[in-house]
Amino acid sequence: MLVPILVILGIVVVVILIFAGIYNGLVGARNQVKNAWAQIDVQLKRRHDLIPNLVETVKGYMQHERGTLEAVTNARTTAIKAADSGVAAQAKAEGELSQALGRLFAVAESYPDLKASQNFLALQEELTSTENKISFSRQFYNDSVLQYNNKTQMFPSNIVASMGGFKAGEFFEVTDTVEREAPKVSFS
Amino acid sequence: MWEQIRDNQVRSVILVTVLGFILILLGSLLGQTVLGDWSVGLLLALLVWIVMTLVGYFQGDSILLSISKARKIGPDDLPRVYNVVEEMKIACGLEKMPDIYIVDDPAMNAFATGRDKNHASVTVTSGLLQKLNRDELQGVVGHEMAHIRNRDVLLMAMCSILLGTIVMLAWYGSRILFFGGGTRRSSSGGGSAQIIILLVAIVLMIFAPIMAQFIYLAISRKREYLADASSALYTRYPEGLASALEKIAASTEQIKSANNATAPMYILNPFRKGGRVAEDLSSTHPPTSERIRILRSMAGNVSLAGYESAYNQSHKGGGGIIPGSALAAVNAAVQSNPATPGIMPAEKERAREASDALWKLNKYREITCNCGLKFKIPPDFHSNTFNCPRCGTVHSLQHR
Amino acid sequence: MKCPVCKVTTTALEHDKIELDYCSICHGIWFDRGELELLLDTLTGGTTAKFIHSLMQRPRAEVAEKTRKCPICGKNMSKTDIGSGQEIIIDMCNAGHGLWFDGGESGAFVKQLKLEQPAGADPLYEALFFIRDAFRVSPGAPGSPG
Repeated sequence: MLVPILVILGIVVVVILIFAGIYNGLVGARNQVKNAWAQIDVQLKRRHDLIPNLVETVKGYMQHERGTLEAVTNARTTAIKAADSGVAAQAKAEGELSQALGRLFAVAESYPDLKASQNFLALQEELTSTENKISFSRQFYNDSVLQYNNKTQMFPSNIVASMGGFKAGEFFEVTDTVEREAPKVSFS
Repeated sequence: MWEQIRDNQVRSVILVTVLGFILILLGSLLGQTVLGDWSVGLLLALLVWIVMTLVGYFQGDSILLSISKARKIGPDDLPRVYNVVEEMKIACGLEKMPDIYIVDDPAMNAFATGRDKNHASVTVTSGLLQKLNRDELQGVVGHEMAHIRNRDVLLMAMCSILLGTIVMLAWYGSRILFFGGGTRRSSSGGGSAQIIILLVAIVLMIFAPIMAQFIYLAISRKREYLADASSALYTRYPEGLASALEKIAASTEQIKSANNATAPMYILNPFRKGGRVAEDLSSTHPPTSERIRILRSMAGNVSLAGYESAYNQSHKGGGGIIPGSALAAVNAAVQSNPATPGIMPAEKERAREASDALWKLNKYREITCNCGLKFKIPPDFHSNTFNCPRCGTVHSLQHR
Repeated sequence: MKCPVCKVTTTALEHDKIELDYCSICHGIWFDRGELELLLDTLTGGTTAKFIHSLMQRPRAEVAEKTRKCPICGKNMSKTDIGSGQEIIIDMCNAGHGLWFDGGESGAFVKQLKLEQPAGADPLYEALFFIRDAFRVSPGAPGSPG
């Protein structure tokens, strides 16, 4: 009589252990997605902080480019506002900011004095690098989301996911293809 | 997408176990033939190994860094270098920013150290900073980051310590056996069995170091390919690393401070002689031309799967380098144009950027004379004044 | 870097983004391989390595001057006469780490180069001209090379 009870108990323990393992794996993957998102956020904020500095530095040299400068300032304001309105809207606003900055740096090419300024060069390096960091953190975020979503959709972890309320994550898609391309994701 | 790390760890553990087995076998056989007691030899071998491992684990990176006279830099010393490392740190999802060191050496090279992701560092030579543009530097740093991320550094350090112990034991063992064999008690046991053990010991002493070396090389070269593949994946731009490897291979300088023990830590083998045949079997790094060809033929697909198929094109048959579980994960498109024109200073400026950072770290004082000449005066300068050799102006070196 | 003559730490001189190592006691100059490449590679299309090799092929000068040790590798350097018409003896590392100009030597060739201006981009003269420009305020004006 004791043996069957032990066997059943054993099976239950094993099932619970497997369940716990999958659950922890899901939590880990979801945390990685959260962390990756936080990384993007840090870099986006850094860019927002750098822009007033840049505009201040550039203003003196580029009297005739008021429109380009205003476009950058406006895009920055829009991007800051979009921070609370969901991943897709934020991605769009930030993409537009990247474009505006790109235009500013392109215009700066024709101002030799500006290009010789140490301050401007340092800011350009910082902003270019921040831009890179944004796309790299986005890249890592999208990879993390893919990994997490795979777990929520594939058997058997999808059972645990639906029981535990794990929802699929949203990709940070870039609307602008001229910019650094985000990874093309396939679910093969 | 990072499951390949786990798969590779299993494979590596098997190889390390084989290495450990060689060590144990060698130790006990040596004990048997030299001391007449296999267990003493076994214990001795294990003891040497444990001590070396502990030293290597806790002191390895600082020993390595001090051998190569590396200087640690912060974000203000070389902003661009710091940024590139930070970019790669983000791309590979590392949580802690690794320390960055720079070595004053005209040769182009880079290496990673650190027992785990929280005690990691990336070291580059000033020659590398001078010759590579931003994309190329990114590719190299990506490669080193992959070593950290994949925990290659610890694995390779442990392997080289095992290898070192085996080589050391075999060397001392053979010395004792051939030249100072007085303590052998071969007469006490049955003759033929003793002779057989002695013969096996001699054979093992000759072959153990060679075998261990080959296992070690097999592990290390696999890790190099994987690090290349990861770098392409992180940067989404394999051409950067390919062109960096090309420049490094073309540079004639050899690393001054490298020695054999640290060779596998570098991005390119500093002891290369150029001969392809010699490189094939006895090199810690795969042939550079091969690595460049694979990276270049990845074309539009920079995922691990893309690297795998490019690798298979140049190696007909034979196993792949990236475990299957990782291949299905992500298809990534190649990046169109990562370089920002105009931001990268010319080689001369890059050279001064790197050397000025080093002068500053070494507490040199920089003075610009009215005639335009710049001096970088060492902290142990013999006089309180410096005469400009160009215009004769006398500069006071009293504390400003 | 330590001066191969005086054994004190040298000072780096930067002129036109190129660095020379200069000993303020004996006024000797070390032209490092890397800096030579920086100066010459753009002028000669990346053939600096060939140029250094050709310098090493030159006959050794027989002079009584003391043998100096390369400040990079510590091995003995060999004496080579690079002057045309007038003797300019320099010390050169046999591993190609760089060129050492004694204080007197740098003075001599600066004087000589005032008179002679060879045409064409001879890398040797480019290097010598560079040192002259680094040590002289402007052509014609009396410099103080040591």
